[in-house]
Amino acid sequence: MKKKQFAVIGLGRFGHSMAETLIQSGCEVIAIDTDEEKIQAISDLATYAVQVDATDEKAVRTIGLQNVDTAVVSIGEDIEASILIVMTLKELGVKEIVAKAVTPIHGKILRNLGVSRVVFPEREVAVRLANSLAQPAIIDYMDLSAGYSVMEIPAPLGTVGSKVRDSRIRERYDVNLIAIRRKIPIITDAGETDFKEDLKINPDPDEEIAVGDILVVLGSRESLASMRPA
Amino acid sequence: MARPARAGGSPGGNVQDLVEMGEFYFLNQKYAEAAKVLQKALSLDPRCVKAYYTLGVIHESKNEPDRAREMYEKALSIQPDFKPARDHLDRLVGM
Repeated sequence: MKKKQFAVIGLGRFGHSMAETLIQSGCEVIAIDTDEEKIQAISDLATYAVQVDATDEKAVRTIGLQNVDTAVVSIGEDIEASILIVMTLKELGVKEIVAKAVTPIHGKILRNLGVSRVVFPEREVAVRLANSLAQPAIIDYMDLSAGYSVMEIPAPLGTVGSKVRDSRIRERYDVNLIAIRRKIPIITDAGETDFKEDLKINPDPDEEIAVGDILVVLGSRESLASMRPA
Repeated sequence: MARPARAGGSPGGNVQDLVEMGEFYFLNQKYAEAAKVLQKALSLDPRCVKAYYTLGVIHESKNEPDRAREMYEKALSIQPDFKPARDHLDRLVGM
């Protein structure tokens, strides 16, 4: 299967992490920035790392940006540059553009320019962090739509030691168990104790819920709020 | 898996045996027993880095991040270059 091709434009903390994760996921990544140091920092990883001004249509056409499946514009602070790059990408005919926004107006302009997805990283991180601070037992929380969310939570009191079918999670909390994250103790090659994480998606009804298990559950926010960890 | 030999003669030997026993219990997911022998090891040698570290891993396995962090910090206060504890601590604080 052909590898999915991405361009990541702007290699600040957000862009660098984005490029690194895409590369680790097996995607081809063209990394672009005007800053030589940022290019150097990703050059060993990226398929192609190039120092260029992405608002320069001629220059970006030369590096084949029009052929990528998705372009991620991760320039937030310089709103003018972000808008110009998105316009250039649209003119090049890039099919999918994801762009980072820093203010609601910036986001609105990007949306009006036809960006497929606008992300507000700071706002999204703040919401998730606030959720985890307000309810420390919750390990992770992701809103879906129409009042539904996915939550990761340590196995609630009374479920540890019982089989999934006997835990009656659905009846008790009106949520669906979609996966169990389990830490498996190991000894590393260096001889130290450690654990590896195992994700059991759609767990078997006979699977026993163990100490330290993290349940990944899907449900309405009200139902999820009713769950209390052990 | 064979259970490690019981405590030997010298105090140092005792501590090491207790740490190994703690690791053995941990590998068998007997976290309470593991914590008990590791605490005993620390009562004999309060500077036992491996005991603190393994207690940290146990707490992390049980989803007790605050207690895990405390153990990793203690291990690092004794041996600042102990990489496994540094790696776990960095991950816990989101670095």
